[in-house]
Amino acid sequence: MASSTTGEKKILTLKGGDNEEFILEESLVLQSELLKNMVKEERVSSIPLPSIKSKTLVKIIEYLKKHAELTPSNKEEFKNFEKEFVNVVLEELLDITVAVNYLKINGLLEFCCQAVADRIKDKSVEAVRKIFRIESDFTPEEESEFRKETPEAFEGDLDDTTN
Amino acid sequence: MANWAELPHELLVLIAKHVKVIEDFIDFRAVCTSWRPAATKENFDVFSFKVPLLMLADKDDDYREFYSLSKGKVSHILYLPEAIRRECFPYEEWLFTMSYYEEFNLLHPFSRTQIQLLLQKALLALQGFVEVPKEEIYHIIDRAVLSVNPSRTSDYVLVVSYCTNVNHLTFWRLEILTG
Repeated sequence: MASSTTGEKKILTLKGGDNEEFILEESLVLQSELLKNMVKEERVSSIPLPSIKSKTLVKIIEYLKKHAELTPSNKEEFKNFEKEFVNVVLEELLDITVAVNYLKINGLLEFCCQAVADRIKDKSVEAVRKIFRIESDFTPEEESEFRKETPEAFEGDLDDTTN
Repeated sequence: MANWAELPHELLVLIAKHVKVIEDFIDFRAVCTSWRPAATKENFDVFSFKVPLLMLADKDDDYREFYSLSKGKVSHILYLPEAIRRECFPYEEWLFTMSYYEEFNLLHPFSRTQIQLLLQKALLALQGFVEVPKEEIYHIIDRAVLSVNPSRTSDYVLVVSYCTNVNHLTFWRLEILTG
């Protein structure tokens, strides 16, 4: 099926997990490697994305629009937008990161991964487990062995590998 | 329902690569069985945002101490006879080392790789000397800077600022020298 058109701009419909539909210009979704391939190869006009919540999709579309408007003169404004974009509770950041990884929006993926890494900064293993809601699945032996790892052990390797 | 422990491996690797501080990286490895294999030593970018080491002064032996600003103590003591009684100017992990009567070198203190510059004679020739004049220190190098890290390419330029009776800048590039 051919994409429907309005004037010269092609229009595409994305369907979120709860069947909510989002209508947007096809040029916007080309930022996603996954959607770009779908659009180019299959000439579709509607793409179902059942694994992505509508709430997450709204956020991502907001990013795609902002990114498409990026010019050298509004770079600062875009940077602030990016910062705010990932300033969300961890569950939401998780949904966004997983969706962006699936959609292969490479620039945004790097930014999301940095945001996740920033949440780990300066925190103990216990604190990381608590805020990320992860249960340790190591054996007690592994647990005590892994806690003994030191930066020196890493740097020791560095000394041998910079030849 | 997505869960931080069940992320795809390649996504965890991508996240781990953004963890730039070694202590955080080690904690990352100790969180759970799915995070651990994503944070391998190969995935840690050792040259990213690392607080530099401060190389301490010559103690007249074959060793040099390096002070870690992040740890607040001497973190490395390296066997480095190549640097004995030589002045050192750092560029990333390389050192430009000089003494007045010997050849100038580039030295990588961790691997002890050394690159001889053949700069001493050329510098003298620029000033009309055949050998280092006795009795006087004929030049004083106050700065040496590289255009790129020699670990990445051999196509780098060394700029040396030195003083005889007037200040000079010398550009050195694989045996091509201009004063």
